[in-house]
Amino acid sequence: MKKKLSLIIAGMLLMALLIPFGVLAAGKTEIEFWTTETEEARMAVIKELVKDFEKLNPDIKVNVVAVQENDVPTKLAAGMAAGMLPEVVEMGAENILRLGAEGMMDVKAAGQIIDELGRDDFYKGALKMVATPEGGNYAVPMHGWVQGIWYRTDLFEEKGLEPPTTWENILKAAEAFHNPKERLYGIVIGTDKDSYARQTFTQYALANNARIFDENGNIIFNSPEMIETLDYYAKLAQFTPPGPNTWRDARDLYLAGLVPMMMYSTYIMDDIGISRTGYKGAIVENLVDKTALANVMINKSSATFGQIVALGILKGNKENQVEATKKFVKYLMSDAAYIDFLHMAPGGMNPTRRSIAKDPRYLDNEVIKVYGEKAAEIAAGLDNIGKFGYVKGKVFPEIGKITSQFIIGETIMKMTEHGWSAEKAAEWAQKQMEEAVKQ
Amino acid sequence: MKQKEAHLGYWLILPTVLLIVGLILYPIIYNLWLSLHKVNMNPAIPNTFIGLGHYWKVLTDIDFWMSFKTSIIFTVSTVVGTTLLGLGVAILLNREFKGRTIVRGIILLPYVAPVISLVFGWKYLFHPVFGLANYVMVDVLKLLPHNIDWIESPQYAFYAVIVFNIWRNFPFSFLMILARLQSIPASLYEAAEIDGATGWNKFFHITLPELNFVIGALVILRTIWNFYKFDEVYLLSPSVETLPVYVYEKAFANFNFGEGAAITTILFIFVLGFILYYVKKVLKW
Repeated sequence: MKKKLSLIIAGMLLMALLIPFGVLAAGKTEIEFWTTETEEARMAVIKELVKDFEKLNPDIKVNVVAVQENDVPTKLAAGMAAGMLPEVVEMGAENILRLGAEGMMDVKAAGQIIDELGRDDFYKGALKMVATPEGGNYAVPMHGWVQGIWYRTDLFEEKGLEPPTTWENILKAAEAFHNPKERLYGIVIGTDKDSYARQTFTQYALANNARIFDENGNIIFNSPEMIETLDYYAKLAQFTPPGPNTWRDARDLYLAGLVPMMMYSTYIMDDIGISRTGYKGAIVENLVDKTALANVMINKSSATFGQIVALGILKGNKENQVEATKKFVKYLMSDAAYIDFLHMAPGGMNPTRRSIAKDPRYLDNEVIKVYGEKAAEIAAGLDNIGKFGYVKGKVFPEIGKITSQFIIGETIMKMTEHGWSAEKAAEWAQKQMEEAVKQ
Repeated sequence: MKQKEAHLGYWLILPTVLLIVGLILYPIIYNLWLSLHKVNMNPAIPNTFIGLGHYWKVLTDIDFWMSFKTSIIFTVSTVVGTTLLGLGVAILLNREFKGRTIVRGIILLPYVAPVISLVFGWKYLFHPVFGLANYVMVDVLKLLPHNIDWIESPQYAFYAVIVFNIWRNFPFSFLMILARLQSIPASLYEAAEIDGATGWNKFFHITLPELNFVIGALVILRTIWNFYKFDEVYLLSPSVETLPVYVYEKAFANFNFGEGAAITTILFIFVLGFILYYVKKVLKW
């Protein structure tokens, strides 16, 4: 009797273990989709889109997995080690390049999708950001943002300051506004070991013609231009709030009216424009009228920085999975689904396809309307953004190995928190980067 | 019949054996195997055997020894801190007073609350601009000239992590010590009082010897736990590079699984050595 009971319990346990596998084998093509849109509201939109897609394609099942942007390198590493990578990923160009450098992106599938959607319809600048050294594309560019200094025009006028478009003007304004006793700070730029610091720093470096790679792919982080940039950046960082700062500080302090300048992407547009959409409780009234974006930075040359987020298909999938993935990517990049996706962060996510940018359905959005002409201007910046991984038309996917270790952020921290000189920090970073690329 | 019973016995322990092999033995062996190879991220390219290369690299790496030092200081200070604080609070609460159960419950809170919510609470409390700590120190008491980032600035982060760990984990020591305290017979103290012992005498000659065993066990457990502590440190301030954080970055940000595995093996041997020494010499089991 006892034995019977234990057999029954053992049997039930076995069933419980096996049931999930049984469901998997039900004949549907299953694909996993990794997205960096982790916010709850955005996940809801994506899940809705996926549901509609599954209705249109009853033989395909899409599993959505949300991954924090800063966790992407670690999750990818874990996935690679376990042989459990997703079929399709939505992530920033650096991560795409990083996977591409490991030979893990399905370049053929990406090329086919781009051709089928119309290669000429894509912005050239967007395609360039995910280009392979051989001229193909690692992934399909989906949306992009532009970065710049968002500043308070009213306060700048009050003090009679010039817009923060040149190095000189930025430093002058930061110094003029900085008053830590009153809890007012000059500017927020990235000074922590994260992606944000690399993103804000890149624009200063590009404006000073400082590069990580030379044309032959050698690392030149200890160049005089880069040391000059580091030195300037450390000086500017004196006028930031205490401690290492990140995007959250930029956003919170600007919306609270405690900094007149901060660096951010176009994703801030809906936060700044929010009071116009009926929201009550903004700390600074009508912030959108008092805000301007300086997205071009001028020193030795002029520089724009931004990011392209792309949909990439991973190699090594079964034939039916590749086909299902292609269908899914095309669905996300077309018509209403694409527009719904972009409207998750209106103004923040800009389309990479010209036809969609002009589509009246895309333009019909409260926030995008608030910005009117400005929105189009901002989006146009996408066509000429510069990045460390691209030198004179050449792509160096090795940049992904450097960005995944947050070496630039750490270099900045060495100066701002440990008091290192720019020279010492640059030499340290040079060594770290050389080692990172070797691996 | 006997043989049949023996068979059933094997069947019944089989799940446990499988679990131990699968969850403990296999990872250890896999980890050893990884540490001897240069691991390729791309599953299509095979791994290459490099023998003890990773071990040599780790042991000659100054960063490893820096992290080692950080970890030792962190472990020693938190073990001492949690044990002493737990002991003190347990002795204080080991007497009758009104609302004793409520106070004991409140003291357990940091230990039972999810670590992530505590971390966010602390981060907000010590926020460089909006935080209460800065408000009190700078604005109310005027002890400091300007706001400080208590948790994320590297020069304070290490202390923040230690204080946080002690605060979060002392309730466990408190609970264990209190349980032991309550089982010390009152007659021992009464006898001592008759002999004219003072409060300190009673503490050193009765309480401490009675607690000897439980404190010894607490120290060894807390040492093992905190030497490998990752979540509390990394969530509060990733700039504090204790060894587990160092391993994590080696393996997952630098994609160097082999080296990460080598470090964990070294740690494993180190902690094993410590435990054997401690059990033999200090606990005298």
